[in-house]
Amino acid sequence: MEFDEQAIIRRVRSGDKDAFGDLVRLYHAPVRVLLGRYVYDRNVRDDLSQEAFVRAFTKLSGYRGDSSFRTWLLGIARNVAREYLRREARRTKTMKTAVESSLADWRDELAAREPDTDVVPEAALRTCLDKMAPQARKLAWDFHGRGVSADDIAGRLGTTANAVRIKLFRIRKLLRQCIESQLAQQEVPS
Amino acid sequence: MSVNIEELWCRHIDGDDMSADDVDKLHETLEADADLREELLADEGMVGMLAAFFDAERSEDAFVSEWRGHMDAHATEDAFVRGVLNRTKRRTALTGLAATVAWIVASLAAAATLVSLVHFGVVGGKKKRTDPAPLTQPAVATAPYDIKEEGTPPAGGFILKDSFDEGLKNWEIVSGPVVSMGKQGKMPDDCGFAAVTDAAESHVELTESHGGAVVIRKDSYDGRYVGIRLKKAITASSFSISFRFRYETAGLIVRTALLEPRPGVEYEFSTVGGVAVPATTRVWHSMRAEYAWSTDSKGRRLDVRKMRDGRIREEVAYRGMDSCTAVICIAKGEMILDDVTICSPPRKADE
Repeated sequence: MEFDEQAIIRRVRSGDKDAFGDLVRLYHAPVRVLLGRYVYDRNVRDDLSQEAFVRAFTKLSGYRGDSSFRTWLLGIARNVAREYLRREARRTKTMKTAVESSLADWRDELAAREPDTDVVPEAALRTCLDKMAPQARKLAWDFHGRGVSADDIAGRLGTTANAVRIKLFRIRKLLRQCIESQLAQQEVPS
Repeated sequence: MSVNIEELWCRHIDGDDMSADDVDKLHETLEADADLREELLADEGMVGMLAAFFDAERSEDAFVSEWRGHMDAHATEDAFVRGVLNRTKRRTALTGLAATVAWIVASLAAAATLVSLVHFGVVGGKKKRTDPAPLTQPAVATAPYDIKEEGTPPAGGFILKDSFDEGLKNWEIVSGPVVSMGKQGKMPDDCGFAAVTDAAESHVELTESHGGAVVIRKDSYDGRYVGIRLKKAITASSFSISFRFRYETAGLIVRTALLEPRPGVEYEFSTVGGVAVPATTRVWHSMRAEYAWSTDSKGRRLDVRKMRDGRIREEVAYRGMDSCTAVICIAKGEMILDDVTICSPPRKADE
């Protein structure tokens, strides 16, 4: 699908709110993946993703085009995530176990010190998944995509749930390394 | 990283039941080893990114349609206005009716410009709360709020915008029996009837999660509902009530009543009523209802159209009421409620 992003923005500004749906379609993946980086509860992540688009829609009149729309939108999404993490860090102090409370604090700290960048690794993630051995990709898809439990996967593979979890942990580690490598190649030499 | 810690982390990420000793061990290790902590948080981020990536691949249409659902909530308003117009024209030729209808049209049209924002609870933005307490019993104010029916409200004319940043000062906690009423059938909005103020009711709480909201919770069905009721009647000639809600439990018996009817109310007709619009658990939905008073040969009537997520659930008309207020309640389950907006256009000079 071809998009003239600026033309869509002009249409939205002139009152065609449906046109914003094209921007949602175009950018929902990077927004959701960016929020996934901070929030791994699926329901919360989708809520926050919708919230990011709502904010972008309501603030569109303030977008002056100094940066790309994608950068501007991802900045909004990142702020939505940070606000959520701050709230969670406060909330978990009385609601959750000590480890959950500490993790909430650490996530908040990590998000606060991460640089504002529009590099969202959804394309790199796609490339890395494509490069992965089919069995490993299927395992990742079953567990993270389809929500099949470690117990069920273990039953199918004739192994233990813990062995499946460890295998997934190592797959994720390989993916992280692959993504870092991909992103490093994209960097423009100074 | 020792295999044991790796295993504990993986079990934690998977939500596996862990002994207190295992949880403590994981916690202590994470606190003591900053590098390990960073790596495991990166792993957690990868878990979220992978899930989001797969979700985005397979649910693009669902995501976009959820967005459109919010927007479409308002696209049908013109049809409603026409419906009110046509029905009223058929039923009466009372003097002054045309002016009334024209006013309704103007009212709803003015409201329409705001609705898309109202639905998301984004109009005016939500103030950050300074109170970090996650769950507190709300203070029930002694003095009701001042309904802004006069003056010069912004386009669309807000009566009330409430994100519960200041607790439940505009609302009272109520409970009461779930009853049937109406001469011709069970009134859909029956939970406001016979509601008694019940400040001691422990089923309503404020929560910091979701940016601040009200949680209404009731563990089992016992023929009673619990909820909140606006402290003053709404006397505007036409208005809309919108709010966001989220069911936290399945199998709910929920009544999102928006009126406080009285015995003897006649449930006159339902043109669209009974349309099932499912609400998914743990997903935010929007509820919107539009009200317009008019007069026909039988007297005053209140036309109501209710929508969930932009789809009409029912369209009804009531008689026998001379005022109404907002009551949002449940008879069973748990519901999170936020961003209640009630708006009405500015009154005309002759009203």
